[in-house]
Amino acid sequence: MNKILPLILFLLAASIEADVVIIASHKSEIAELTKKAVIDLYMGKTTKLPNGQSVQAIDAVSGSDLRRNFYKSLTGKSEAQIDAYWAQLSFAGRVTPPPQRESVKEVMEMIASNPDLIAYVDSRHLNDKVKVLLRLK
Amino acid sequence: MLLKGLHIKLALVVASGAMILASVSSWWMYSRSYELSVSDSTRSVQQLLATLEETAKIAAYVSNTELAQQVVNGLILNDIVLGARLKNQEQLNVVAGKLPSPEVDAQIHIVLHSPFADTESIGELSVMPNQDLIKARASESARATTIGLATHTFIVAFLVLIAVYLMLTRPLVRLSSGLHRIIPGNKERLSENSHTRADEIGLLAKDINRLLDTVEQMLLQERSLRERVQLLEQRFRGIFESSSAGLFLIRPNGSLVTANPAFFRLTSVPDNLLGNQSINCIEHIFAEPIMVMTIIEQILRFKRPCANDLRLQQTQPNHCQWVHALFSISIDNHGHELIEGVLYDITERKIAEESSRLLAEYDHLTQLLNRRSAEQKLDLVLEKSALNGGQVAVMILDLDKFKDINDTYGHDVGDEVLVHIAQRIRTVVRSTDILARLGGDEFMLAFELTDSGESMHRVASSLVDSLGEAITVSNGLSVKVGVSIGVAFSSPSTLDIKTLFKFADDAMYSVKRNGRNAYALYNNPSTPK
Repeated sequence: MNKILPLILFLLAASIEADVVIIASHKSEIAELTKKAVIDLYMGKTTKLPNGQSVQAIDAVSGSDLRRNFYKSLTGKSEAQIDAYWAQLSFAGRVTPPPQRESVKEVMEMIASNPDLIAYVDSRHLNDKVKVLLRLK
Repeated sequence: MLLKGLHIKLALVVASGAMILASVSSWWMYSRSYELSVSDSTRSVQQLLATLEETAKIAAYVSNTELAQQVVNGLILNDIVLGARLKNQEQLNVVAGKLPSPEVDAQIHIVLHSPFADTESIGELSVMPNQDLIKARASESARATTIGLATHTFIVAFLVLIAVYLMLTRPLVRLSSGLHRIIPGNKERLSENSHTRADEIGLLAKDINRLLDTVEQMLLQERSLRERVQLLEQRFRGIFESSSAGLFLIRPNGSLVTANPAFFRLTSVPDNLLGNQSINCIEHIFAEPIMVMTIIEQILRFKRPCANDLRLQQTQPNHCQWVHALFSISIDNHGHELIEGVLYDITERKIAEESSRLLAEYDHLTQLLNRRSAEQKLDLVLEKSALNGGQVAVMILDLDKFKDINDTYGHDVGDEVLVHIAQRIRTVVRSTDILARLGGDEFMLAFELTDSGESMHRVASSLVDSLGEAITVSNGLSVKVGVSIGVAFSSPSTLDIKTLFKFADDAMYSVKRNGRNAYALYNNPSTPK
């Protein structure tokens, strides 16, 4: 029974895991974000929203399924390509990739407390302290 | 001159062909190679751009000057790139090297798309290629290709020339100069070179030699033929010149074409008539030219030869010449009709014939007709007079006492008396009368009556008178004879000589019986009064 439960949970999770959501604090003034805006924020093009508000994007940890799924859904590129992209930019200097946080809990707390942050999580982890800016299918 | 000309001409043709070919193909190759080289360089530039495109995209996307700088710096490291510029739709505009003007044609640019959205263009990467370098390299490459090609063309042309010279021109020139030296008809021949024996030149040499053989043979044949013809001609000319027969050729108008020496010896034709086309020489040759002209007309009309005994025009008085003339038609080279004549001198024969005729017809002593020929002539006269209803008088004369002269003075005197008598009778009678010595002292006179008998009486009485006169013979002796004449007339019933002679004889004997030295007519009922 102890062995079967995680499997069932996993399967359940897998069945509803399909969506990655970009979230911000429920206190944030941002109502929603376009896919392009999310790309621009995550790919280092800008740190500002079109309305002039500064935003810091939080990335998931390298090698995680979430991160892989996120970039695949967002840009159609593999994680390795994204890493190569950042390597080129970082080598040239000045620009750094978004900081990575491993714990979902930590991310959720950071978002809830800071309205200038955005992050992405599995839609299963959503709570009422965050709001969904964009849902990636 | 011509021999030299052939390979010089060939060389000129090949050289100018090669020159034209080389220049046309060089020009083409040069431009082609140049274009190729330029497009190669352009492609190289584009490939360079392609390698840096991803990085450029990123730089343009994030407007990262450093990364952009890296890209353009990397580009101008290539010597075919003079300058490069990376700019996006925001402030990013990074330039490296020389970039004269953004609108220069030679610039190569690629549009940069967002790395995350292929449809969204976010900037462009431009490159100014090093045109001078590209052109210089292209020219160099094109020149090298062109020089190679031209050299190749000239080498091939040269080799072709040498090959043609060795395999065609030189053997031909040899053949030609060999043939030039050879005089057709000689034994000399072209050497059938073993090197060219198998090909067309060898064949040509063989054929030429065969032709030379044929020509030589033909010339030899012709030469021998000509010698034979010359020999024949000499012989014929010899025959013509030395012939004893007079040979001549005349035109239908009688002018002389040619004649041999015997002809001129024989006739009285002057040499200068030879070749004269207008003078009729017939009248110079023959005594009866009109007759000869008639003969010639006949020959021309009936195309048949004709032979006649003809008398020549007399050169000296009393010298009569006879020829046997054979005329035939001869056609000259132009198809004109000529008359060929052959004259044999038959004067001797004619004279012989004449004398034998005289011997046969005449009495040797008195030169009067003998009995036989007198009878023949009388026959003709009788036939003629019977046809036109005339009458012929026949007289038989017999000398009186002639036997006594023979007995007394001998036969020589007798013969002399007979000659005198014959002469006297001749003076009385006409030339047309038939006068003959029938034998011994008997004569006959016959003539056609043109009147009713008066002439006969006149002749008979004058004969009796004339012959009765004394005759002085050569030894001074004077003798005297008389004549008894018997006359008979022909009539339709008495036409034969025998009867007439018999009648006349009868009449003569009646005179002898009645005292001699007179004439008498045969008493016949049919005789005219």
